[in-house]
Formats: sequence, structure tokens, C-alpha cells
Amino acid sequence: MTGECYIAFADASTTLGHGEALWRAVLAGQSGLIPAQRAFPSHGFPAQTHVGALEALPEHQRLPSLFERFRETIIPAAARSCDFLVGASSLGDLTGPFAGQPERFLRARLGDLFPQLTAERIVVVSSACSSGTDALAVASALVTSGTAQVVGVLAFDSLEAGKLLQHIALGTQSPDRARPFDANRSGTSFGEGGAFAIVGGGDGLHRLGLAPIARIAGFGMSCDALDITAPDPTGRWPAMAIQRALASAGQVAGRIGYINAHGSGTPLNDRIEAMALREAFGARLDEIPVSSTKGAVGHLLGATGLVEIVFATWAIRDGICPGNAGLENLDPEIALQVLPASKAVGGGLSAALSVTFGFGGVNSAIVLEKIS
Amino acid sequence: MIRSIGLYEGDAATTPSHDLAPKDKRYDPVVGAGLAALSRAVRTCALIEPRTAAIIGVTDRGCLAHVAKVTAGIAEQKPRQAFFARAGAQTIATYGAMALDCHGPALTLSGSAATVRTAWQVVSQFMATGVAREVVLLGADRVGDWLIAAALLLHAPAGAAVDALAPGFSEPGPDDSPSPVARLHAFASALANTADTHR
Repeated sequence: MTGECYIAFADASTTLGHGEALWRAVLAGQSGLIPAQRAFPSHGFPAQTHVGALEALPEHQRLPSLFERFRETIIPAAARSCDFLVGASSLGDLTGPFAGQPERFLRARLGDLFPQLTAERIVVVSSACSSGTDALAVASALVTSGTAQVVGVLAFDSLEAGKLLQHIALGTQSPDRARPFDANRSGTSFGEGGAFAIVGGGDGLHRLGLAPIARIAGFGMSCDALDITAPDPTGRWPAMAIQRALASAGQVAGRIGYINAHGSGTPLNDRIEAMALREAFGARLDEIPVSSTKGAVGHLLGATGLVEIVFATWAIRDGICPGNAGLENLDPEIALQVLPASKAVGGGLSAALSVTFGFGGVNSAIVLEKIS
Repeated sequence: MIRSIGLYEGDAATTPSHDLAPKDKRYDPVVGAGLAALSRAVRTCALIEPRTAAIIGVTDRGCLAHVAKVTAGIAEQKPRQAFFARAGAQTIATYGAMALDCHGPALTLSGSAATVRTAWQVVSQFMATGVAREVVLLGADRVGDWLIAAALLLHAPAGAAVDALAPGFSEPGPDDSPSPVARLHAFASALANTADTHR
């Protein structure tokens, strides 16, 4: 059985807030990155190190506080009518009773928001920093197969001080701040937060009185199968994920007018991503604006994919591509049309692509089409 | 469509042995159990389309041992980055991909016992829509003092209907375990005993 799957609700909670305030801040080029010392004052992190952490959260076990924010902000009443919940997270909190077990945490701490769902209707997707993107693909599969009519997708992850310590040791965290695609980029800025989306088929959404904003026109996934932390330097496998997304989107692929890149800000990632996009799009890539939003809200680990899909959804809804916060001097080796500032698209946007990569060499791409 | 089955069950104190050779061997014991099941599944039956084959992992608790090492390190404010990078449940799928050099989707689904049915539904839809014609369904978990794992090699040639095996996955699993892998293991064991799966 095959059918269509639409996004009818999408919101994100980040260091720049949520909803329209978040979107306005991103479009204005604001950055919500803060000094790690401010987020974790007792840990002695370097003064220049910036993160997308939320202030006024406890240093450990941050997910309980994040989930309370989600309740009050990004999870609408309509979520109670979803007949499946697909979560997405990398590891969640690394302290507390649910350390490294985000699925159990989700069921224990937010189960009451979904009283209609038994445990068998809740699943969490883990594909490292592609989890949020892959969760939407899994939700789409559940809808188009007829397994579910309306699915809630919740991507979440936390940045405890201990987790930041691991990323600094791995060399993925920038000594100062994320500058995706910049000539002087030095790594990413990890952060925390989440996103929630409601997806479904036409009948299911109609039943809930929800109007579709975008159609999931296609997705593609691949795995480098090379290394747990380092990407394949050739870029051929992320290119395959993007090519498969474009192929499954059919004619919509030709109307893509914005690319929300993974753009982590690590020297290797951004170069490989540019190569992969070039291989997938060819010369047409020169006509498509590209930006990473990680300079604005940080790299939200297992939540980042869905947060960026929310931005891409809002971009096609409003016909505005967000700028690439943190960009000062585009790396001359990055052959992309990276937007230094937000840009309205005359005639609007009809489709967008969102790309994410993750540890283990997972690569994910999803094509969204605007529903007028 | 189920071409091969591999099973593993062993004491958690024993390192699972297998004859695969992933480049990186610093994996969690649960991942090792998954690789042991996988090696048995591919011993007599290689992948047909490794370039595009998907690996869909299933687990309840994921990589508990590596998580414990990271949390112990955090308590002492010491980085344990090698364990941290290999502590996510996704490593059940990504180590499998590395071991078999396959490049399709690689993700892991975590959840209750019934998650194996959800995984099957996702796998079926991926196969039916051409996301991947060949899929390895790879469950791995620690249940009490035991590591259990099961690997099913599935293939749907272009144009072929995808078998409706979902009812099989709905059968009750071992009553004393919430693990989807216990259910997958029981299902695969029964199938391996009753059918010629090495087609």
C-alpha cells in the first residue's frame, strides 16, 4: 500500500525560543549560542567555547526540564489524537535513571501526553545526528503503508556538561563557535532542544481538522560503512542519499529552491557536504540558495534533523530562506550559494531539501513540497 | 523472501565470537551479539545488493555497557569519548553496515516488545517502495544476564510482492521479557526450525 504523507504541524524549541519568535530570530540572523561557562558555570570550560544550550536548566538530567518546556510550547493538543508516536534521539541524558535510554525516558516522562498510545505505538529512532530526519522518514513509511493515519514525531536531545566534555575530546566541538561553510570554521557548537511534527495522510489529517503545510515528497538514506566518527572523504555516500531523495521526489526535485544543509561547521563535514550536493545536483546547484542554521541554534544532536526540517517547512510556507548565521568569509573551496543573510524568494518556494549526517556514517536527505 | 537467519544467545560475561571483520572493534557487547547473529546469517548466504542494502536494528535497552562506562567517566569528569561515540543504539545497525560493507539506510528502532512489529512494517514499506530491496533486520539486546540477537536477511526482487509476515511478529514472545529482540529471536528460531530459509 502506498499513499501520501503530509506535514500538518511543525514547531521547534531551541535556545532562540519556539514558534514564530524562533523563526523571526533565525530570519533576523540572530544567534542563540552562549558561552559554555554560562551554561555550565562549575565545569571550567574555555571562555570562548559557545554552545546552543538552554540557560537556567540543571547541569545534569536536563531532559526532564526540556520535556516540561515541550509540554508548554511545541506539543499541541492535537497530539493526543495521533495514533503513533515516533521519537528521535541520539543518547538523551547521560546521567539519571534513564541514562542513554531516550525511548524509556520518553515513555516515562511524556506518556501522559499521549494517553491513547500503548507502548507498542511508541518507538524511538536512533541514527545519531540523523535521528530526527530518519524519524520523519519512518513516520512517513508508517503512514504510507497504512499502519497509522496520523503520527506525532518528537525529536529531542540534551547537552549535559558531561556530553560536551566528550565532544570536546572528540574534536568535533569548535573552540569558539560554529561558522558553517566559513573559511575559518573550526568545528560545531553543540546544543539542545527539540522539535515536534504531526504528519499523516489526507484522511487522517482531515479527521483531526488539520491542514497540510507540506508534503514529504521523497527521502533518501545511506551509510558510509567506513568509520564510526569520521565521514568518508569522497562524499559519494551522502551524494547517494541525496540522489535517492531527489529520485523519489520525482518532478518535485526540479523545483527545489532551498537547501537546509547539515552544515555542522567542522572542516571536513562542510567540504564533503558541498561535494555531495554538487554530485547530486550538478550545475543546477549554482541556482539554489543553501544555508545551515546551526550557527543560529547550534547542533542539536539527535534532534537536529527534525529542527532543521521545521525550518525548511517554514521556509517554503513563507517563501523565505534563512541565512547562514556565523558566516563571515565563505570558504573558497565550498562551491555553494551560501546565504549570508535571509532572503525572500520572489514567487515563493515550492520545494526544499534538508540534509543531515551522523556518527557511523549515516546520511539522510528529505524533500518537502509546499501545499498551497 | 527471508533468505537466511542467524541467531545468537550467550552469557553476558562471554564476548560473542563471530567471523566478521569490521574495521573498528571497539563496540558494545550488545553490538557484538548482533554481529555474531549476523555472521551466522551470512555464512552461507551473502548479500545480493550490498551497495543499497539497508540494516534496520531493533533493541530495547541498546548499548548499556558503553553507556555505563561513559556515565562513570562523567562522574569523575573524565572524557570517555571512544565509548561515548559507540554508545548509541544506532551502532547496532552501523557496525552491521561496516561489517558487511553495505550502504543503504542504517538506523535502529528502540522500544517495547512490539517494536519488532513496527520494524517489520517499516522494512516492508521500504522494500515495497524501493527504498531498499534488500534489508537486514538485526535485533540485539541484553536481557538480564544474557545477550540475545537475531538477524534476518530479507530480499524482495523488483516487482515482487512483499510477503505479509507481520502476523508472525505479533505472536506473543517470551512472557518474562519486554525486549523486542526476545520476540524476534523466538520468531526467527521457530522459522529456522520449520522452513528452508537458505534460498
